[in-house]
Amino acid sequence: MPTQGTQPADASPRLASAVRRRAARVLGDPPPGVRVRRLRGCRGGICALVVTAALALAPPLAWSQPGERDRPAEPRPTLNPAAAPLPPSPPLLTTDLPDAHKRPRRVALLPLKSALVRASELLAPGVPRATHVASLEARVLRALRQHPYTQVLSPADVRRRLAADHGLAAAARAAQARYRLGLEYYMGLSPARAIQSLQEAARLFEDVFRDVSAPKALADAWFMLGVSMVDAGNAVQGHVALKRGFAVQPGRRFRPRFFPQRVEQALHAALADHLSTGNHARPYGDAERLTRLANRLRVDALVTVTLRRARDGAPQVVVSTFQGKPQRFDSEVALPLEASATQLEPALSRWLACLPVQARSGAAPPRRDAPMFMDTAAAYALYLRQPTRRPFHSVGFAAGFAQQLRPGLEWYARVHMFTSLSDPYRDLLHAFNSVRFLAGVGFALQRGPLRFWVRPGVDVHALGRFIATTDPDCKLYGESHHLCNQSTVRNLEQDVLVGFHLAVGTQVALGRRFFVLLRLSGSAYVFPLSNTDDLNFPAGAELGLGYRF
Amino acid sequence: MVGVAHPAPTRTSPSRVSPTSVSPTSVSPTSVSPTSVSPTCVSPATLRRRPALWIGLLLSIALLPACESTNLLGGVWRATEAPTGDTLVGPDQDMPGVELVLGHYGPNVSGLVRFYRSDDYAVPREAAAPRRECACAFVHKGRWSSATERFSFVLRGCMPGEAVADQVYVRGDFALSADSPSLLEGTLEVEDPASSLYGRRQRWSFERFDSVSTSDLSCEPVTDADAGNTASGR
Repeated sequence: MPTQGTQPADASPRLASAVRRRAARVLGDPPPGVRVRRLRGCRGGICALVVTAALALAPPLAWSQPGERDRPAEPRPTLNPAAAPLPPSPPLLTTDLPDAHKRPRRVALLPLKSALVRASELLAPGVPRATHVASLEARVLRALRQHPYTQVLSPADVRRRLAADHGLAAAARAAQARYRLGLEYYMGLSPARAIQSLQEAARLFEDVFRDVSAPKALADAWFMLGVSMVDAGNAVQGHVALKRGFAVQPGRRFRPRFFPQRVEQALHAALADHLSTGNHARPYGDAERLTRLANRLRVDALVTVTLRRARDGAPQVVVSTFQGKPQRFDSEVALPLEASATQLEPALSRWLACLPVQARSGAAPPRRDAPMFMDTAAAYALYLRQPTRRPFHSVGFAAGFAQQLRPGLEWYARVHMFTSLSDPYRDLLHAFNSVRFLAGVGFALQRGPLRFWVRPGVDVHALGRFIATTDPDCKLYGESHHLCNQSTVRNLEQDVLVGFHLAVGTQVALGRRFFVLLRLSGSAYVFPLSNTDDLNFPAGAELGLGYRF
Repeated sequence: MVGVAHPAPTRTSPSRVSPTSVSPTSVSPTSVSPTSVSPTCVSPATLRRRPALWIGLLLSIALLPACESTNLLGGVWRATEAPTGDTLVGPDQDMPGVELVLGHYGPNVSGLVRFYRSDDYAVPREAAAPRRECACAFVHKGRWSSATERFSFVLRGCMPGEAVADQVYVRGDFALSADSPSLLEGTLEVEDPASSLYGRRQRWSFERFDSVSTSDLSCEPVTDADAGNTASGR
């Protein structure tokens, strides 16, 4: 049953204490060591309602003992007591994450539907329509947008996004073609074929959410289907189809005497039936359909607003909220239209206060103030200045460590082990091993799962057995042979080169902890002054896997 | 000079070679693979069949300039047929065996020529007796032209036969056979005007035999010879 209104905010302490008393009656006193805690992130009134509803409906419960907190959480109650038992919801609320890691909650406000129509106006197209629909939509939008970490799609945005969705375009075109065909069959007095085509058209229009983006198209399909069925003598199914047409467009009106009298009677009956028995709280279908719609719109939650008449005939606003993950209706609030100006915002505010905040994908909840990154990588390097006539390749592995000092600033240390292979002309007499030590500071930028950084620093390179020559006799007979011209031999064995280093790279998060690393770097050696003319300017690339602590 | 006909030697297959002459298993770190074409090379036919390999090819061009034939000649080559043309090497007692030991490094080639008593490559000539023997000579100015696929070099040393005790300046000019990359064909020509053999040209063909080992590179100079070490070419 929908909640009739909400409690004012100043009632929170009283409600909270009432809830505690109610809990004590139902559950008994808590055992020693168990402490009753407030729900974080919820405002008092709405949480009190939640807990009250849960206690009223819950099966026998028992206080959990200390140490039992690791057990799977019980389903979380919602404002909608009629909702089915729910899976555990994400534990993150607005206070659980620092701002940098919050992903705005994406909420779509679906186009408002107004059932404030009278059956007597069905065949009176000249009667002016109510003008409060647009202002009510704007009011709901304002109420949603004033909340932090909330990104709101307006009804216009929703229509635009659905209309531009290429994944729906083909089905929409097929639906339109079916509708035209059905219309031609109807005009050609072939009601059976018209019914078949119009049924397919309506189904396809529903699949592509035309009731949201272009409701007239879907309503036309239902109405023409209903009219065809009534014409074919199938009044019962025709009534159902016409009623579904009014569910899509409750305010639809028709010219008098455009349809035969029995069709006009059927339209009247269908509209009256819809106004009295239609589900105005869920104007866009069930949870499964809304989940598909939320996925299509890439939003976390949907808000629907419907205008209807209460039993006493007074206009009423029904606000329904739906979460795509977990798939559930969070709340259904019915407010008198005249009170919506003051009560609409609190109702939405309380719902948003309990709507979980998601961490940005790939960004782990920062359990430490200074996250550390470790990685190992396969490495490749090429010297842009070398004593050989052709470049030689250096392959190896690297291991690194970085720690964030402040957001965007880090220090790092890295070690490379390289084996340098002979060049094509074998000017490098031997493959040799070398070790590089890098250290410095880095400047990082996090964008979703990607983390980019620039890391200047110092490069200390200990060379192994580096001997190069261009004399072929030295290569064939060895550098100590009498034919080997010693003046052509460059010997950098055991030299240590020191210089500046600059690296750019990115980390692509794989889940919360692991990441793939891609790193490009270059160095310029300046010490010792005499030997940097022979071997200098290594450029490198690395690809690896890392872990974030 | 008109060439002298030699008795046609029997072709020696590698399996007939004495195991003491070359040890295929004793390849030192300086050994040269006779067929060392870079494994990163991709045939055009493969590229046509798998166009996706173009990406790999571009990367190879950018990062692996080693994809070129820089070591086609490296290895031990042996003459397996009698030479034709003028008399230059031999006749001595028998047709000597001639062996090229080459290291190929891009545009440069180094190596030596070793002579055996006969074409069975069983008994090497004695390096310490240059007046009677002619054991080996170093290759100088070895050049490989990848454009023409020709190999040229200079020998300064003795030649078994008439110039066994003289230093002669011999130019070699060889090319890989179009039919087989294991066949090297070309000429040895005396280019020393001071030599009595000036102008003699002899055509040889060599077949690849093995990779180079450290023992193949031994051609030490002899210091006590009366007329210098003609054997080593110094």
